[in-house]
Amino acid sequence: MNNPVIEIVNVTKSYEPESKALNAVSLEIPQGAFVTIIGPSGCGKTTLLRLMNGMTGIDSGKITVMGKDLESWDKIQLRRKIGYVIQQGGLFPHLTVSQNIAFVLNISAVEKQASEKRVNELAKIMGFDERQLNAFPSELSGGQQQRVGVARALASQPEIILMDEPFGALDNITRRNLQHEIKEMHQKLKITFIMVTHDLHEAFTLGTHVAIMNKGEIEQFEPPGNIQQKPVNMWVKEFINI
Amino acid sequence: MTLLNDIFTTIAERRDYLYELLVQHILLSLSAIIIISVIGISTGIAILHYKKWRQAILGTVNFLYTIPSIAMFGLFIPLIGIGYGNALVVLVIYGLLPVIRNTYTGLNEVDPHLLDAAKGMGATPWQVFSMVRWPLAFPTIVSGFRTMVVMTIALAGLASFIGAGGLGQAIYRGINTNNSSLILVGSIAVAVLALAADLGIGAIEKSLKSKVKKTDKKSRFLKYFGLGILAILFIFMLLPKPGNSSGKKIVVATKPTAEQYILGEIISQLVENNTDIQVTRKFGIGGGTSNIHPAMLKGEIDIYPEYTGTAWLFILKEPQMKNPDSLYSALKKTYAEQFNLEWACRLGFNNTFTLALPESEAQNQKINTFSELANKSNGFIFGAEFDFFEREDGFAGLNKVYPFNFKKEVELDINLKFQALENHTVDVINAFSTDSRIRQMNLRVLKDDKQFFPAYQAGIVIRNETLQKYPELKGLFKRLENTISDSAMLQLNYEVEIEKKSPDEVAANFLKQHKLLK
Repeated sequence: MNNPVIEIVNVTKSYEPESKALNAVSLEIPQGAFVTIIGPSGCGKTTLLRLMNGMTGIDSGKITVMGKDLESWDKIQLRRKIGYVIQQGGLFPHLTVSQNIAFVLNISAVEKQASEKRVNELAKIMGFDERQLNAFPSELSGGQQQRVGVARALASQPEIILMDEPFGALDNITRRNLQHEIKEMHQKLKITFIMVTHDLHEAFTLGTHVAIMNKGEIEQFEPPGNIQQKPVNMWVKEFINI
Repeated sequence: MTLLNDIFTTIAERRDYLYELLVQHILLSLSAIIIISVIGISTGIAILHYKKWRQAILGTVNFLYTIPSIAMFGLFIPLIGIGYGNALVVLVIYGLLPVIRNTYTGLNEVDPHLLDAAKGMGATPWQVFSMVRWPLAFPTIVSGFRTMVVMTIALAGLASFIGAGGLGQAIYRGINTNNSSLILVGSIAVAVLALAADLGIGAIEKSLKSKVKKTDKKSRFLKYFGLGILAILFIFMLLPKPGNSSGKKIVVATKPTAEQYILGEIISQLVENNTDIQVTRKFGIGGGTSNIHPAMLKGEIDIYPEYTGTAWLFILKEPQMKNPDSLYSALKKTYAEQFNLEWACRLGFNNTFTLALPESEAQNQKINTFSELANKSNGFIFGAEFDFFEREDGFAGLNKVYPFNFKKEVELDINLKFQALENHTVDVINAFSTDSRIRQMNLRVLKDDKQFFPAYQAGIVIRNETLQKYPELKGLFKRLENTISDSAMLQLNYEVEIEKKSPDEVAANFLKQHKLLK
C-alpha cells in the first residue's frame, strides 16, 4: 500500500450557509481497499462519496484521485474510469440488460465488437444467460437488477468503484448473497471499492476499512477490528453497539 | 337507408370536389403539424432549461388555448387576412399547448436517479439528454403529439370559415344550402381522417412502448400498419392537384348563404368556360361582407357577388337612397374612386325585406302591394322576429309610411316564422324576397309600392387590377346583366335548398339555359 488511490485533505462543503454537510474532512483511501462509510442519516456520507468522482463540488480543501488533483481532471473522463452504482442499480428501463451493461462502453465510443466481448465476459462472471441479457430490467428481480448495476460499473474495468447504498432496498437473504459475491469480487479484482451503507453488519463484514461519520465529520477511520476493540470515543462506542 | 343512399350519391356526384377538399385538408393539417412539432418540441426543451421563461410560456400557451377557436380565426383576419396563412397560424397556436406541455412534462419527470446514474458514469450532458432523458420522455411526448394531430385535423375543419378550404367547406356548404348528406359526408371524412391519423400514430407508439423484443411479430405488424397509414396520408398530399396550368388564377368568394353559393358558381363557371383562367373558390366566408370586403381591398379575393343596399349602407355608411338606379350609379362611382373596385353588372333581382302571405289569401283579398295590405290590415295577424318590430328601418319605420293596423302583432323566433304561417298562428310575415320557402309554401311577395325598404339588388364586384391583368374578363359579366329575376332566383334557391341539388349543378343548368356556356 504505497500511494493512496484517493486522498481527501481538509475538505469542507455546505449546501446551505449555516450548516456544513462536511466539515474539514480528511481521508486517505489505500489502493485496493474496500472502504465502507457509515453513519446516521444526514451525516454527510453520500456527499463524501460524491466528491470522489466530482458529482459534488467542494468549498475548500483538496482532493487527489489516482495521483492527480481532482481540479485538473476532466470530470467526464474521470467518471468513466470510476464505476458508479446507486440504490436499486439505477438501471435504464428503456435499455436491455446487455445495453445497460454496455452503457459506459457506448458513451466512451468503444468499438461494438470489443463492447460485446466485454458484456459477455461480465455475463459469464455474474452468471447471466442469453435470455436475461436480452430482457428489460423490469423483468428481473430486485437482486438481479442490482447485480446488473454492479456489472455495469465493472464494464470499463475501473480502478475504483463507488457504491451508494447499493443493497438498501433488498430483502435480507438476497442482500447477504450479494454481499458475499461482492466480497469475492473485491478479492479477485484487487480494485478499490468505496461503499456507503446504513447497515452496520454490512459495513463491518465487507470493509477492510470502515469510516464512521457523524455530523459532517469522520469520527474514526480504521480496519473494522480496530474500531470494535478501540472505539475512539463514547459516540462511536455507542453507535457500533446499537 | 335513404340517408346512406344520399351519402353515396353525394360522394359519387361530387368526387372531384370532395377529393380537392380532402387534399387541401391534409395539406393544411400536415403543414400545421410539422410547424407545431418543431416549435412545440424545441420550446418544451428550452423551458426545461430556462426556468425563468417556463411559467410565462406555459401560462401564455394555456391562455391562448382557452380562446374559442372561431374567435381566434376572426382575430387574425385584420392582421393576416383570410385564407391559408390565417388558418395555419391559428392551427399552430392551438396545437402548441399539448406538444409543449407534454414535451416539458415528459422530460421533467424522468427519474432524477437515472439522470444522476448516467452523469456519474461519465455521460456528457448531451449523452444524458439523448440517451436517457429523451428516450424516457418519448412516450409522453408522442401522446402529446397524438392529441395535437387529432385536434389539428378536426380544427382544420373550421378553416373553411375563413376561406382556407378543406373538408370543413363541405360541412359549411351543407349547412348553408340545407344539404344534410353533404354535412354528413364532410363530417365523416374529417372524423375518418382524424381517426386514421390517431390509429397510425397509436400503432407506432405501441410498437415503441412494447418492452418485448423488436422481432416480435405483433409489434412489427403494428409498426408497419402505422407507418403504412401515415405513408398513405403523405402520398395523398403529394398527389398533383387536378386542373390546368396556364398560371392564370383568380379567387371568387361568397358569403355563407345558398344564394351566394349559386351566384359564386355561376360566376366561376362562366369564367372557367369562357377563359383559360383557373378559379379558386373561397365560398361561404364567415362574417360575409365584413370579411370579404377587406380581403378584396388586399387583393386576396378578386370577385364576389354583393348587394347594392349592403354596399351602400354597410360599407359606405351613406344615408338611404330611394331610387335603386341612382343608388347604383352613385355606388359604382364611389367604389371605383374610393376602392378601385368595379361593379361589373346587376344580375336583375332584389333580395330585400318584404312582406309575404299565402297566395290563396292574397288572391281572395286581391292584395298585391303593401298599400293594399295596409287598407285591409285589420283582418290580419302579423308575425316577425322581435328586432324587426324595434328597428327604425323595420316595422317602426314601415308603419310611418304605410298605415298598418293589424288585428294582432306577434313576435316570433326567426326560424319559426314560416312554421307559424303554416299553422295559421299568423297570416302575414316579413321575409327576404328570394327565400326558397316562399316558393315551397306558395306565398305571395307583396310589392313595396312606396319603396320603404332599401334596394338590395345583387351585383358582381371585381377588382380593377384583376380586370387590367385579365382583359378577357372585361365585358364577360355584362352578359349576366338582368338575367336573374326575383322569381328566377327564388327558383334557383328552391332547387338547392329544398330539392337538394348542388349549387354547381344548378349554376351549370342556369348558364346552359341562357346559352352562356361555349
